[in-house]
Amino acid sequence: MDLLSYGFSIALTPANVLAALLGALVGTAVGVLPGIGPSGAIAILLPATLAFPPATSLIMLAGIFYGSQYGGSTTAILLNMPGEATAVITCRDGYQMALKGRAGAALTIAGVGSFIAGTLGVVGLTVATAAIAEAALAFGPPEYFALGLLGLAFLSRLSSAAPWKNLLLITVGILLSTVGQDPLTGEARFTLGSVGLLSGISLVPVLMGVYGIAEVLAVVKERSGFPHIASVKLRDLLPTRDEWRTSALPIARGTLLGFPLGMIPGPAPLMSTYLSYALEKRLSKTPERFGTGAIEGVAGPEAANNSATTGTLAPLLALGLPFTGATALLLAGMTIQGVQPGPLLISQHPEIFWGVIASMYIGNVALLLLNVPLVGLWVSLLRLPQALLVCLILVFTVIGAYSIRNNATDVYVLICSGVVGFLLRSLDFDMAPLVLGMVLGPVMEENFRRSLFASDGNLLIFVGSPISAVMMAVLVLVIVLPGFIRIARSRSIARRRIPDEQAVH
Amino acid sequence: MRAHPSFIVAGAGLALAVAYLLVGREYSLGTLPAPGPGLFPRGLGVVLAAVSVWGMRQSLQSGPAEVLQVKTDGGTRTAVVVAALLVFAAALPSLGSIPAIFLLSAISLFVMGWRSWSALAGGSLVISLSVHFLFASLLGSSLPQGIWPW
Repeated sequence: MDLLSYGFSIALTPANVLAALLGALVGTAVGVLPGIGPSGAIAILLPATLAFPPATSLIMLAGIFYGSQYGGSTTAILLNMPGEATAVITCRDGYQMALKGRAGAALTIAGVGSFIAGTLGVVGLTVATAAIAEAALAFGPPEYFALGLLGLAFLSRLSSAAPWKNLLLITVGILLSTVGQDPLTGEARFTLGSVGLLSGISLVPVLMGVYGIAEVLAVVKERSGFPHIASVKLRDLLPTRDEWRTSALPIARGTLLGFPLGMIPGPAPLMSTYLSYALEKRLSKTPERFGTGAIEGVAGPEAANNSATTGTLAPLLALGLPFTGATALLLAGMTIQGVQPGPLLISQHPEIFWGVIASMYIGNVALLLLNVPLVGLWVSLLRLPQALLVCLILVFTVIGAYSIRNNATDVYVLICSGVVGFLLRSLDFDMAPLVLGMVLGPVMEENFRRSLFASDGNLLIFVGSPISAVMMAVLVLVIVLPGFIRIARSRSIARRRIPDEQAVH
Repeated sequence: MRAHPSFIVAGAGLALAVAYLLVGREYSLGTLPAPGPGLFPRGLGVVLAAVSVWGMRQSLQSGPAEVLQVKTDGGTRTAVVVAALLVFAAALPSLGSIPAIFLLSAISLFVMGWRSWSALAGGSLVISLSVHFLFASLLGSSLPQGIWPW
């Protein structure tokens, strides 16, 4: 409790309150605007935060990250147009409620559900991060290698694209991370004689390219205007007593479901919305109402995605390992400020850890106050000239990429990454595996080689401790289980077909 | 016969793997007790090659569902914006940040539908001066001056 008070003493300084509010505002705005997601927004604003102290810059970036989950539901409910991927499921019942004149109630329930889940998620984050960080102090090179491998294996299975596409990008990401000096001997590798590549391919312009530039290029290609929006009156925002009562348990279940899912590598916030929706439909006595304007179909998924978003921060803060694209951007934000997240973050930089945690309580309150009553203002963002938005984002991104190291090569890396990201996304590739490959690659290589040095070349070191053995066992399951399930399913279908065919004959 | 776009991506992955393995031959593998800088990349190259071959097989089996449509108005717009970005990257060190941002803004606003020359010039000037002021004066970044006098 003393530590949390210490966090509040940092988060409540005027600069940090302003940073949390600014992050919440920008996050809500990018959540409302379809096209530019939280990763794109963090990527674009990352260089601008370099001028701030580390705690202030992270408070702002984290605010964008969790704030975007609030904004995504607004356009989903009012326009049937999800601002974020996580709001896709909210369209189903949220928009149906809007058609029945209950848009205000759906927006309020989504906002309150997000607030409750976000706030409880922060409590979970505090407990989980401290526990994981303490456990991680016992981690040595084999455990870190196994964890990196396990994270990438989960990602390849759970990410939205086909497994081969995910694996391809993971491998290319790791490959890019090997360019530059060897982490143990300092020998130059894959630099092709270029002095500029000696320090490696910087993660930040790649991130800004595959998220920022690629998203803008997609918007330029489509150039579709935003539809006309109906206004929501303030008095319509209050849900009925029945709507509150019906939403309470789905919000609680969504919160409990979302947080642990958030700690699993992959698109956890998105997955949590679908699982929460399926759970609510299964538990409902009137499942036929789902899809026609059931408030539970808004309350559960909205709570789940906010809770899961908070959960994704636990492995980043406790282990220094990001398992989503957006948390990889937060990691980049920390490392360019000279802060290394991991088990020692809490003891070495308590002002950052506790400051960010406390700021999330403030941010969640701000988001509730900003989102629900000001819904009209957020929706009016969609009336901004799209040309101006595209132009500003492009300029911010390229100048931002240059200004980090004052290096023109970074601008070319940014453009190449943006074009590659745009083309691959149009072929249904998910870019998170590439980014995470780049982040986790050096961790895996260094720990793999350190393990072999320490064990005198004995490969059994990777299953030598209970922690790494369990992780390797889970890894085998992640790789093998889907194949077994597929075989079992095809056999069961074949078995069902034979009696049918016999009956026909 | 028209190649499947995903097949081309997987093929590019295979080409990258082969090139990576060829370049990687320069680095020592070391031994298991003392692994050298070439060991991890060698394994990585083999994995990339295997995944690429798997991807090529999967793409051939998946049928003609995905077709990359680049030759549309949207494709042309996108290509012009990419060209503007490259012009920006080339112009930044020599012309300086304000003219380079002006060029990029004018082209992207034009591509996005602005047709009034006065609006294009005015809008681009305001954007270039504001962004320069924000980064150079407020955030303390050192942007290239180029031919710009201040």
